[in-house]
Amino acid sequence: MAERPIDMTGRPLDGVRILSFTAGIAGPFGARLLGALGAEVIRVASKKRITADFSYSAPWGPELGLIPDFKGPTGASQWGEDQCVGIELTTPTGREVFEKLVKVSDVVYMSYATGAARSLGLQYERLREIKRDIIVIHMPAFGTTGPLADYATWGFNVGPMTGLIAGIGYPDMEGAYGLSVGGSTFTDFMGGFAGVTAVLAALHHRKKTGEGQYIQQSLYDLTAAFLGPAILDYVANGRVAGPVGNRSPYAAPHGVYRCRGEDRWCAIAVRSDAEWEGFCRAVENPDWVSDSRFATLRNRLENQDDLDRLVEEFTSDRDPYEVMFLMQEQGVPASVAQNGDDLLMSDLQLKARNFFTTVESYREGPYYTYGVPVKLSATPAKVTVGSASFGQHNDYVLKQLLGMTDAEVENLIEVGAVSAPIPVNPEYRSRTLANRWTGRLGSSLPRPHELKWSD
Amino acid sequence: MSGQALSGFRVLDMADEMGVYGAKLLADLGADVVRVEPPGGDSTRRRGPFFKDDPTPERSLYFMAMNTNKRGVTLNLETRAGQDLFKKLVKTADVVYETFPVGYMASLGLGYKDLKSINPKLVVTSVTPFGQTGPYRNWKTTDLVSWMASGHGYLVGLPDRPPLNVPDVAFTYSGYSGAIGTLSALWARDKIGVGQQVDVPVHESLVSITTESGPAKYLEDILILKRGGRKRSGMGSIGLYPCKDGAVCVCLQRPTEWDNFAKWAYEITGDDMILSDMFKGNAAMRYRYDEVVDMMIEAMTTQLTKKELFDEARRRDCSITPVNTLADLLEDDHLRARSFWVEADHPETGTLTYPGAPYILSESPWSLRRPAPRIGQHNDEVFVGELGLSREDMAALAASGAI
Repeated sequence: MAERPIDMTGRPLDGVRILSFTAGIAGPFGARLLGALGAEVIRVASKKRITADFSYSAPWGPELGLIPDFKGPTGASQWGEDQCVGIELTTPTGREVFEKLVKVSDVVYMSYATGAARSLGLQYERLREIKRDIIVIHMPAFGTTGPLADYATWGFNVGPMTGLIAGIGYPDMEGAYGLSVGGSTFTDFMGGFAGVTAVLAALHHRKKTGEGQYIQQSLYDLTAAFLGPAILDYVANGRVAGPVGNRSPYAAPHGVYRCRGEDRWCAIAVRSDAEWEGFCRAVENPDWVSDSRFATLRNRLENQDDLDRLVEEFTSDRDPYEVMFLMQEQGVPASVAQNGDDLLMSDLQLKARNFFTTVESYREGPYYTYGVPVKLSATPAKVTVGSASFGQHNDYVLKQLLGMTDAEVENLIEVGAVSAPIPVNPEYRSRTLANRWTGRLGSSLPRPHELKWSD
Repeated sequence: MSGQALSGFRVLDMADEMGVYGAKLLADLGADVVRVEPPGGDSTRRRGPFFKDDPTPERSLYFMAMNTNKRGVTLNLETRAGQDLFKKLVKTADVVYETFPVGYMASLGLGYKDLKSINPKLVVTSVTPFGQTGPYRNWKTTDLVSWMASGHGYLVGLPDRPPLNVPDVAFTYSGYSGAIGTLSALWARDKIGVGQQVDVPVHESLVSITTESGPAKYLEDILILKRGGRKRSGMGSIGLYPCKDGAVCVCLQRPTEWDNFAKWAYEITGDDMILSDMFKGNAAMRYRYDEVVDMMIEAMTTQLTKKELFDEARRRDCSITPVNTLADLLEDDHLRARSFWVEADHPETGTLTYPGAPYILSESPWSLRRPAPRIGQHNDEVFVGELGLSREDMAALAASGAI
């Protein structure tokens, strides 16, 4: 057996093969995580869907004359650790090739809309006929049953349907229609994490029983699923929390305080007496901390407006990192409200843990991307390559995995059952700094511990 | 159907809010999750909301939501007798799942090396604020602090006001990471014959999903995204918009979505400016005309109700969804059709409605088998019934404060 395109040796899911039909965020993110965990993830792609599936990081799509590929930083952290074969499922011969591939795979993983999956013949009943113990997961926005099952929409649209918007906002915004989660598109990714969890559970089930199964997952359901405490508060107490800003009923000070500089903030949370004592030490015990208004948590909660004002007098004079370090060194939970630049340049923890990792893109050379959020001591997961371009692994999949000859493959391409790889344009250079990430990260900007705090 | 997916795995769950959702995910899929609490109950019982606002350890609705399908025992890890009892439990377990400060378990003689010598197949999953290693490893966190550290907070709120928390999201993610790491280590166990340690930083779980907004976006466009209030930062025609009876979430990302919407808006308002070529394309391109685009969208949405907009958007293939309340969520037809809501009867609360399955597995389904445990509810069942302790043993342990 020839060398595999990605060496999964030593990773936890080594030996599992997953056929992937994904676009958007949730699906690809989950697929990348499964690949990082060692599954062999093979995107089965169609030339007809190339714009939908490969130009997510628009505007680099083919309409601009660029070769579809994922080289951009956004794409690189959502897509990766996969292979790609170009098979046209809607042709009878293409279907035959696909079925051969299913026979040697463990999981079919899909985030396409319900209708799209149906039109490609990816229903569980059909796949099960090919391989009895196949595990199939389908993750459209609303799942595959129920009145909304056929609605193709964005993850961004699902969160507000669950009522979670009501809790976001400043206290003086009560009654306004609320704030969105802005650039934090967190809802989508929950779909990716949930999908990976479900696939792992199904794999364990099959190991125990020999049974495959069908998993359908709705982003709407799984978002509602994490709102347990709020739902119980409503059902049991009739209460819906309005916007409380950054306050908490169980901690004070608890908020995000302005620091020196433009749009610079530090979050501080003091939950207990011990943390309050630490806080007092961190601010060097000015007179006001001994005021009886702040002596107990209850008092601090009652006098929060005054308290927040005094805390902010302390922080607004200081660099946010100085505040964070002063607090944490005294055992007080605190963090700078970091932005993208901060996370890359000033987050000493991410740096020490090598969270931003270098991967080889298949054609372009190394660039930075995100690592994996779990560290396994004996069988580490890792991200080693960027996402495959269209049809990049036709040879490996068709000739190595399925044992076809060169002639057979050429014939398949001729009849349109298989689509030839689209080679990366060697003249192409990412319009961003993909290959200059190293330079950016290795720059001579000072790190927080090198700064003089009095500056 | 042949039983639940994870039946056969025993998990000792000692996680606080940073990880407890992950143990719930495992329990809900059939794992035998035993919540191990200090005598008197663990810290998550002090977290609200509380049933009828009664802040006692058996009435925390937070605890009840997070601990469905788990049994509960008590033991005091800081006593020798408690540690010995814990070790007996570890012999029977597949996973220890915890969120203690780095080094705490080791200081009690219960570190990974110690537990591995008792049970080489044990997986120990540790969820911590920043990870087991690195300069921040001893730092502390709350969901607000982690949300801010990760870059998400920076993008929520109004541009000239403080960044905002989105409650309960941060630790949901670290919970999922904990579950995924645990299930992966259990899968690997069959290959390598032994367990291992799983290190899950809350921080990295959250940073890993900032691909659209944080460092990735910064490197892509050399742009630090700013808070967009009700809008998605840096994008046109994506955000919350007022409508006749509340608000809707509009996300006109693809060119065809915009075209479909523009045609519809023209039908409603009669203003053909929205049909102009200059606004066509994807959402990023529309950002340069953000204010005008918002005006045109609002001129249309304010004339229709949430239901009218949602129903018609589905017919016209463009993304508009209602901004619902929790009450709306509980009434929602789609979730009801999917049997999403389940009921659990707990002695302190009577029967309450709980959210159900995040995913539907055809052969090994999610189910709510039991409500969250009361303090020490299963001490007898586990210590006497399964470990074989005698009544005298139990009395001695109780007297010494070990259980």
